[in-house]
Amino acid sequence: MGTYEGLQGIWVLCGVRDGQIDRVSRELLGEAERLGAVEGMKTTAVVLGREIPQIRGADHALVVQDDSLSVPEELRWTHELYHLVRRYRPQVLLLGANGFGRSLAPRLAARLGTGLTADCTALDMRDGLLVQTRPAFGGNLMADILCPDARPQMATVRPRVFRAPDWEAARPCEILREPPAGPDTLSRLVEITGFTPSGQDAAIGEADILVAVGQGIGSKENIAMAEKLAELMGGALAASRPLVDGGLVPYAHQVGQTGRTVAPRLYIACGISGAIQHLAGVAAEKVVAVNIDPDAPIMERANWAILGDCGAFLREMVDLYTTSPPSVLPDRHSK
Amino acid sequence: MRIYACVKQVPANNETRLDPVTGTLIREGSPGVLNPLDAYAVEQALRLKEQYGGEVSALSMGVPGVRDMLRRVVALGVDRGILLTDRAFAGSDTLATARVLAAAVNKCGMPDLVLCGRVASDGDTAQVGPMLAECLGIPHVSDVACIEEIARGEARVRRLGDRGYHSLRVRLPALFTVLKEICVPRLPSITGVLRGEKAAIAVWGRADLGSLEGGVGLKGSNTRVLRSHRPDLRVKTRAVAGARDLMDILREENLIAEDRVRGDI
Amino acid sequence: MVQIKAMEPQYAAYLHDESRLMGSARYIAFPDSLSEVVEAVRWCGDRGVPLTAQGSRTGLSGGASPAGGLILNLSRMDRILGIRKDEAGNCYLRVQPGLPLLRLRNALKNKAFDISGWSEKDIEVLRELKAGEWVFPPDPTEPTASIGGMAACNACGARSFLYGSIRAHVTELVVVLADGRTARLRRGSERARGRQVRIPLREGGVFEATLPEFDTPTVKNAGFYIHGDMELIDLFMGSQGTLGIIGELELKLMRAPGHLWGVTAFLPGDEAALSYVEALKDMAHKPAAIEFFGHRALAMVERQRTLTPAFARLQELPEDYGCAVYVEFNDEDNSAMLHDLEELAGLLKQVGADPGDTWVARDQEELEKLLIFRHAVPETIDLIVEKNKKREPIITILSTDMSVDDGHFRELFRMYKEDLSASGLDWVIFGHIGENHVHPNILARTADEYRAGLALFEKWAGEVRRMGGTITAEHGVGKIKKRLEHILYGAEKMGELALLKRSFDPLGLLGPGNIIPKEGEDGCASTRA
Repeated sequence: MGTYEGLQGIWVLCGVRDGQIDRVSRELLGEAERLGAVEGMKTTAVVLGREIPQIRGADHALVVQDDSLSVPEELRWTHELYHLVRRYRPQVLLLGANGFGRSLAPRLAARLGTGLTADCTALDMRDGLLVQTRPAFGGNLMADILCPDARPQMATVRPRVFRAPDWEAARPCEILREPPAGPDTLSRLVEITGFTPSGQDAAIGEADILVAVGQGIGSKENIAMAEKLAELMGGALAASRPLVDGGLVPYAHQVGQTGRTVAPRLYIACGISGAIQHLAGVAAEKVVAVNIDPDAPIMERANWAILGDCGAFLREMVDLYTTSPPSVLPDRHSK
Repeated sequence: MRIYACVKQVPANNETRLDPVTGTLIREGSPGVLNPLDAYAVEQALRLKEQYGGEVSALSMGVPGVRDMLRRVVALGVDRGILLTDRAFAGSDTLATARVLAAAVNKCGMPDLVLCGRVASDGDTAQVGPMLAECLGIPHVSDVACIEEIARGEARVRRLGDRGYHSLRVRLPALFTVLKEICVPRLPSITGVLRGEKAAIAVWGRADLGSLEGGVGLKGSNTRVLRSHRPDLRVKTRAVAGARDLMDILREENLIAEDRVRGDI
Repeated sequence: MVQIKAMEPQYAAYLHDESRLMGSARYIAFPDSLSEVVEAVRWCGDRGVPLTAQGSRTGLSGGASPAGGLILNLSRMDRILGIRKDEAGNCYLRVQPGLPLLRLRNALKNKAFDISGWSEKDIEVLRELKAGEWVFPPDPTEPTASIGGMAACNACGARSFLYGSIRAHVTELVVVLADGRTARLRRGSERARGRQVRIPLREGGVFEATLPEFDTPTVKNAGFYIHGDMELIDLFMGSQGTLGIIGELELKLMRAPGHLWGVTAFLPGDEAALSYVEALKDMAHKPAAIEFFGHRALAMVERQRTLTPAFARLQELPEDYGCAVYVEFNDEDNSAMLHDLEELAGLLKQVGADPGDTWVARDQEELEKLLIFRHAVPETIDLIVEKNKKREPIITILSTDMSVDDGHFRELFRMYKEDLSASGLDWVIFGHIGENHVHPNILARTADEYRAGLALFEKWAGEVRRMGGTITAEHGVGKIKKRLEHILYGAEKMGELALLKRSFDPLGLLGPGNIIPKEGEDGCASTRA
């Protein structure tokens, strides 16, 4: 027992995927280290599960290992985290703003009676307080939010806002094991009975590259072509609302206010006009817009704009990927 | 079955338009409307009522004008509308809002089910639902795509998770936030609209809700907006001729995995 | 300089409109200004090359399907050129003919105008304009239709019950005549004197012609418009590019109604629906639109719901539906709606319907849902026809838009139903019942059924003639309704129309095959059987 001074700094709740700390958690560990350095706070990676992966990139790791923690479930996680927070009293608790994090965090914040900021896109430390920046009104307004009095200061943070540090080079951390608080009455009321993975489409929140299609895509064949290109590029297919409402693409692919928020490195928008409701869901590093309408709003939000027909563009891209080995691709800078 | 649907009034659209002559913001034509995703919670509540019997109440915290929005919700077939309005509620953050809603639910007695839309289009936090469930001490499931069955005090639901659909069994009472794929919201009938116009909307203030532990309004909120600013969303756009040139750029910018451009597989 | 390009396979989409009537062409041009249109018309005139003007190719009568020669595609002339207000405060827009309706609507709704090239004066007028303050009322079902195309066939759409067809909302045309000379025709200034037409030309001089001796039907009519002392602007609206090419238009805008709302009511049967519609027309507050959906049309959409994922978002029909009537109102404000809803509830009860079996759309958002449902009917027909066409290529959409006056509508409607029921064909009825023109659609499954359908249309054309109606209220005669038109007018009047056409276009180069049979074409023959 006993309190650890070093555990009162910045916590990152880490998710586990394929036996490893997942990407958004690594991004958050990197950012926590930066923030911690500002105020001289230590960082802690918090990991719950039946199996615990290798943990790095923080001063400490706080681990709760139990058979009953095999599948993430909000009520069960809330119970464990509540006890950890109550015991060690961290200043800051960060979670990834994926589906699970955005369902868990408000539950936990309510139990702790503390403030929570959703879906942050930037963080900073000022006078010992965490400045949490988040978009509102569909991205038309950015708000800086503080939680001056209650602790911990909680925030969910959008994936891919921060760069994940080099995992291999990340420092090892001191592992502290905590016994499970055990399932409580509330978490016994919910039982996960099955899981149906949704294949590639589930991945739009995680993909590095998204090939997105909108109303101007032209034809079903072009949608298939976009999917093919996404596959070739190692990315996923995304869609704007009209195509989902039109039954042409399943809902799990929908990007935007009524769909998902995505933050790929590269977003190739084919035939997407760029309504604000759609752009609200796009936090890409770089955007390519392909559109026949030069006035489409997306053209102003794109790093690279191609004025032309989506079908022709997609066919050519697929051709470049399938038929021309890299050495044959002409390099326009050499003769 | 007794069901509560929580609804919120939001601005009709988030779109900001600029006047082509003056270059200033156009503010006309943005009245308050029912949060689009809350329509799915209301519809699902009505369908459950039609299937299992019972009554549906719509609950909203907001300014006095939200009464008209609740009438429109009543027109759809909801049995009663309850408006929680008080100056003391102003400035509530998500947790303070959840406390007010919870107090109202408790005042009427715990229902079997509380339904919320996945997220409100203005705040975009998706926090009030899970927080409300916590305040009520009942389980919650977010992002429910389908309520398959309700029997013996238990619901079987399907929810969209990060990597696919989970099937869950949940003891009632419980709170679900629902996705838009769960159902198609109906339009009201003439009879419904006329009934909605005449319906008495219960209006409760702070005094009606008893002790609100943890506080409400700005005072009861742990979060503070330090400042807000309009982001510059424009980027420097470069025109590109076609796929070939784009590939060159993507390669230069290190945005594509070179090993994937292939011809020999 | 306008570029005249040789036809190539990449332009295949320009060989037909929504009627799917396949045309042919040797050249195609995409002018982007009035002067380029003039150049193209002159180029054709010099070489005796026929030309067919096109907008968005959304027409249903083959008017934009080329019949050889040049395709004059106006889709690049899609700009709003300016705005003005008159002393009375009315607002007018000058537009190019290729402007799609949707773009016009969005411009007005969001005050989103490209003002490059506008005069200072026009920009001053625009400065005062408020987003959403004005609308352009004509509302054909297809929002991508071009303004020029709508004017050329005198399109109307659902709301014309209140606002009339596009004719009423166009105040000026610049037309390019067959020899490349141009005329500016203003409503209220250039009129025929009796049957004498004198058109002052912008290049100087006057063009003269004589109108036929008869008047066209007074019910809403999409063909030629001929009346003594008529406004000359109307000669070019409905004539589908056969007398001249519309190069520019001035549109009169209407102040946006404060509140738009509508109700779809489910009724026990067609007779109840007809009574309900008659009562709606008598309401003190005149509806903007009245639409009918027959039982078979509803059932068809209901069946398609399971097959087309997009239809999964449609409203669910009540359990025991007979047919449905949609009515739309434009109001100053919300309070009038409740009063009208009470009245509608009473009317529905009178005809044995339940006011609970209704869908009320109280705002634009909800109206969209009803609109999606309305569009689902023709969309489903398209899907079925496409499927049937794969088995039997001769099959196309078989739809009519005949119209009669109030006194004859029940007779016409009953005749449709009796004939269709007795025919053994697959059919549905829906459409603009407020103006007495519903669309009986025959979904032919075989070539025999297709011919049987055409024969029915011809029978009806004869009956409609007897009732003093028209064979096309809104789609236009184009290339596919000439046989019906012949039945309506008879050989003599058709001869007079051909004479009028010849005086405008002696070489027969403009819109060949539209409305007037081409030289050597048998106008009496069934069009496509």
